[in-house]
Amino acid sequence: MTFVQVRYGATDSFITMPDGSVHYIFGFVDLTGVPENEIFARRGKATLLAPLLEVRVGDRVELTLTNLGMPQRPDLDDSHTIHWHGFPNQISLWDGVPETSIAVPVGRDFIYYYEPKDPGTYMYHCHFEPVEHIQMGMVGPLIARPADYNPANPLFKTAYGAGTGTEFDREYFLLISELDPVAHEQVHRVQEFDWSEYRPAYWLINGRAYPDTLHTAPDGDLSQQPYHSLIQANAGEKVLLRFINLGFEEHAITILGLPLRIIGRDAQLLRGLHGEDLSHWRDVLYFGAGQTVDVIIEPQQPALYPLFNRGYHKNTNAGATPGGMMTHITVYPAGTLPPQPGPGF
Amino acid sequence: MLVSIELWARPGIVSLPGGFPAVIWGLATSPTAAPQVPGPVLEATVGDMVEITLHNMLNEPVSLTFPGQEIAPEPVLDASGRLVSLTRFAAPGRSVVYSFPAYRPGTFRYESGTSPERQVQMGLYGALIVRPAGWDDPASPNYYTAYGADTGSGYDVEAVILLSEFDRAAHEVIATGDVYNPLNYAPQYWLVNGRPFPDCVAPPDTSTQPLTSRVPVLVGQRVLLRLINSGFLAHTLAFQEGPARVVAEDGRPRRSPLLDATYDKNAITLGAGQSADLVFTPPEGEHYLYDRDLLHLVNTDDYPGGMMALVDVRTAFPVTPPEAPSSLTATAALPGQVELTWINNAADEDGFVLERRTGAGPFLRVTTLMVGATAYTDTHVEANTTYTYRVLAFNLAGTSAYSNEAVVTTLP
Amino acid sequence: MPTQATANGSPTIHLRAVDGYIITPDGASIYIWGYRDETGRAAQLPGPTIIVNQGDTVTIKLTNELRENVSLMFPGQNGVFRLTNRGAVPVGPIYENGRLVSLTDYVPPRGTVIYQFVASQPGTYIYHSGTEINKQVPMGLYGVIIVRPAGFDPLDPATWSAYGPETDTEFDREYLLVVAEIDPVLHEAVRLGKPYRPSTYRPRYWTINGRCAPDTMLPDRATYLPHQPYGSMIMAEPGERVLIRYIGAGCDAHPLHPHGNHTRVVALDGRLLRNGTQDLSHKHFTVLVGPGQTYDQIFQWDGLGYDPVTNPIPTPIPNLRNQAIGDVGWTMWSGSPYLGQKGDIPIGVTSLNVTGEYYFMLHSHSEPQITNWGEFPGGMMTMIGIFPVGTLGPEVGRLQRNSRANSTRERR
Ligand SMILES: [Cu+2]
Ligand SMILES: [Cu+2]
Repeated sequence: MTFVQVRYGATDSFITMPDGSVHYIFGFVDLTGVPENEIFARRGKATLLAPLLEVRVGDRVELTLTNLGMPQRPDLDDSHTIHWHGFPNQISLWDGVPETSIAVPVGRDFIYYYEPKDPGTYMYHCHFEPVEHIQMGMVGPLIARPADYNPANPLFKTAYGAGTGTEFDREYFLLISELDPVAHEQVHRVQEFDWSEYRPAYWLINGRAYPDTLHTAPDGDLSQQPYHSLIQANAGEKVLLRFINLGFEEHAITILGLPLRIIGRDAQLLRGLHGEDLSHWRDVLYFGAGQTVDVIIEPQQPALYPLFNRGYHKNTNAGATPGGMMTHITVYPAGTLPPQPGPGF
Repeated sequence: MLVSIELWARPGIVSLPGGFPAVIWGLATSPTAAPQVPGPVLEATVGDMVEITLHNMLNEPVSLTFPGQEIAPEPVLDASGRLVSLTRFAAPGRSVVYSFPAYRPGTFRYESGTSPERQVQMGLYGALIVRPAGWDDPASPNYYTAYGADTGSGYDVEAVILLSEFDRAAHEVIATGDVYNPLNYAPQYWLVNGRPFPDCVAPPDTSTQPLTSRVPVLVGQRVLLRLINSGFLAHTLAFQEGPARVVAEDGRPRRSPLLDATYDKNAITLGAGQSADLVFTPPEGEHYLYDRDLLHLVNTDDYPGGMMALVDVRTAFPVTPPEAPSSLTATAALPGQVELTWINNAADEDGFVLERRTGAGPFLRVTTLMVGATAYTDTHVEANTTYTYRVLAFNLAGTSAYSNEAVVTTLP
Repeated sequence: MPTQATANGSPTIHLRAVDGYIITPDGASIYIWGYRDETGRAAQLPGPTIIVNQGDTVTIKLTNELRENVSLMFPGQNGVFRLTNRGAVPVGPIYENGRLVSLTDYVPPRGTVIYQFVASQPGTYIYHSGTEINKQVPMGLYGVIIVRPAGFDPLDPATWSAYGPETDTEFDREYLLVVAEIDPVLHEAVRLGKPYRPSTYRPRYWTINGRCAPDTMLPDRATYLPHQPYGSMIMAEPGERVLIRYIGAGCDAHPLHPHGNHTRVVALDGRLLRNGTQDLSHKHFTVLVGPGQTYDQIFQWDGLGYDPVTNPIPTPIPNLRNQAIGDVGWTMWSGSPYLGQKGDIPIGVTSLNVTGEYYFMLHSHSEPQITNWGEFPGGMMTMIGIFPVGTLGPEVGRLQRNSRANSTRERR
């Protein structure tokens, strides 16, 4: 059991799409370990996605949210919150819903506290005017590891605990969302946006559109979009894909040549009331906003397997193709890649 | 056994309700046959080796993917490492061969892997059915099952119900070679097996839209519906009455020796690219299966239309096609419409197909009418235009000859 | 209010298809078509909840007070008949002049039609019009049928379950959440008798039980919502089993996400997720409710046990003056982190909290749907109130015949 302390700041910044377009975002920036006198310098440095929050069942987690304000929108005094989406048996104080507890005003801190009990794939996001703050980018992936998780021992390197049939060799999270450039532009220009007119033009994995999804190297243009989604593995390995839908649409995700073994949904091992094993295979994963799905793929042949949205019209960057919600799964001969240091790398 | 299939990707014309032509890219079974939308239903049995040769008669590279099959993808990348095609393609005038073992039974799809946002919309998609070994052997426990013995997939009658959407504006842009913007995707037609309602309940034919969505069933028979969503959007298909049992999803049975995970469903959602196999024993009568997104029950904006299929359950089937209608008359009494009447000479028809041609063009289907129809008003006509109409009657035994042709010139 | 269903296994319900108006929190008045029962004066949204017992022969009379044909469909029920002078005839699609005019037997204006079926399976079902369904259902002609399992006794909590004994669907309180969308342009076109183009469908309001947030949280039969009688505030005490029935009555899918805890989905479309002793239920934090679908779920909040004495909140609670509370002028928070306690709320902010209960939002995670015409907060959102043990009366969260639907405590 570990006492985990993290600190995130709420602020703004800009992101870049593969067509060179630049979009204003709200988001979180990692302040963990940043000295107090350097906090102010992190204003305007939000990232899409927000930092991966990785915890373990049994941990005690203190998450401090600091509202740094929006340098691009000094007029805006919105509060922010953090909502751990799907946390079982939450109490309202730490649920991050302004209407049912508190929100954090500009210049203030608040400490959220969690004792995770159920492993799985979650998400977190701001719940202040959520239609705006989620679309603007205040979204992040959240992994709760089982209490017995031990990456050094293959029997204990699992998504849901030893003996649950969820062993994996590598893991990636894929947080999928959409971007409506008009909404972002209107917010930047202090204009009202009618959210019933929401109509995305970019479809993203981990905050990037194809082919930026493939860029593993730190990249100047992608400085505020830290997470690539190039999936790499050796033949014969089990690869855990943690899908998180934090867009507003349903999506149909498929990998040409690789069936998907669905082992968990919404941070729950797929088991019936009496332990019935409900894991199953699909070729296309169809899921809605606010859902997570844990999938294990087991590529046997070295090859490039494309991952894309089967709603083919979404594999675009504002009309240009290919683009959008696509990435590659590159499988090498057995033994080529060294063990993975952490999720998504 | 080696199953060798040759397909020709070619442009063609489909007929949309109202008698409107639209350009499609379909798959034909010979270089001179009509290209089909959807492509032909490909069939194989577990243990077969399937070899498909695609001949490209289009002006751009074309390919086929076989999702769910054991076939390592061979994506084509450009110099910057960006996907050009999801799999190997045939250049215009060339051919490409794909082969894979039919290693497990199921309901699958195949479709273009090159600019799929354009080519799949244009019509390059279809169903692939793999049957268990012994499915046609009365001595086999797999006889007339979709997934083999003890999977709950036994049936007497089967039907493919393949869903897709049709954006006429997209077809126009793509067919002329203009740049297509997928953000503009906004279908006006919602198809089952390549046709919208009511044309989907007309008999199978040899046109570019050869498949029907009328499923004839005798009372007491078990029906296997092989649902496939080849569209880009999710669709929820609803039954009017009781539910059907979902026995497989994406070509994988939900029942194993350890666990029976089959379940009943009244309104089943298929995300883009998904498939499901449903089994049920419907009572006598007509049962529509319809898109529960009710806004998809239109052709352009005309209701009823769109994504419907008909399970037609009877105690007996007719054995002879109906008599042909006669005395077809076409009158242009008012601007913007043509009044049609005919004499129905059949006693046992299920309906009528009304066709027209403009000038010397090909006959296109205007609409399909149900039992007893003797009149129709065609409101989708241009002014000062000469149309030739003809009508036939159909039932489950086949179609009648055409009626006389009636020629009319519309008012200014 | 749930409709009278007399005892003895043969309830008769009389519905009328009528028009009326609903109101939205942003002040719009929207013309609707809907069903009402004998107690109502105008259309209500959704229609009256019909509660019957498994095995009942259910007779539903429909009187048409609209200007066009209407009907009732009962998806999930097999063997629906229309009672005529000649006896009971199975319902089915209706054709006139060769055209499909209704998916089921309809009644013309000023007429009455009588439907009958045996409610053979317990569960949650939808009823809606089967005529011009792409217009009439979005206009509001929909409602819910609940079939109680055999042995259910409304007076004996020990018998309360969704699907009968040994099905692990026992509950202490139950709530019904019917979700749908509204495109006001459709409603205005129908009111004015003008044409409407389904291809222009664009919902601006998203409803739970016919209401948009924050009206969803108001009590049942709030006087200022005379035609939207059903609230959707969920209230329970810690550890109680809460049956939440989701029903998708609109045309779109809605990802419904309750805060506080997961729900265990025990049935789909009125069918228990169980084969013999094998259980297929599963816990979700978001359930994607497709059109025409129903989901029965058990929700339970049993808390982490924070207590000011034995297990105090382990983090510093900041001075509330430094935090944002009730930015919109009100809050549902008690001012205390502890269940059953109240704390100070900043001056000028109204607390809607009754007795230190916790509130958890339940909402569509397709977040544009939690707006009223684009403005947050609104739309498809409500709250789950977890009340201190012993503070909720037995009348809360009961759906009963001849009585209130979601009995809701009046909040100050
Ligand atoms: Cu925020
Ligand atoms: Cu959320």
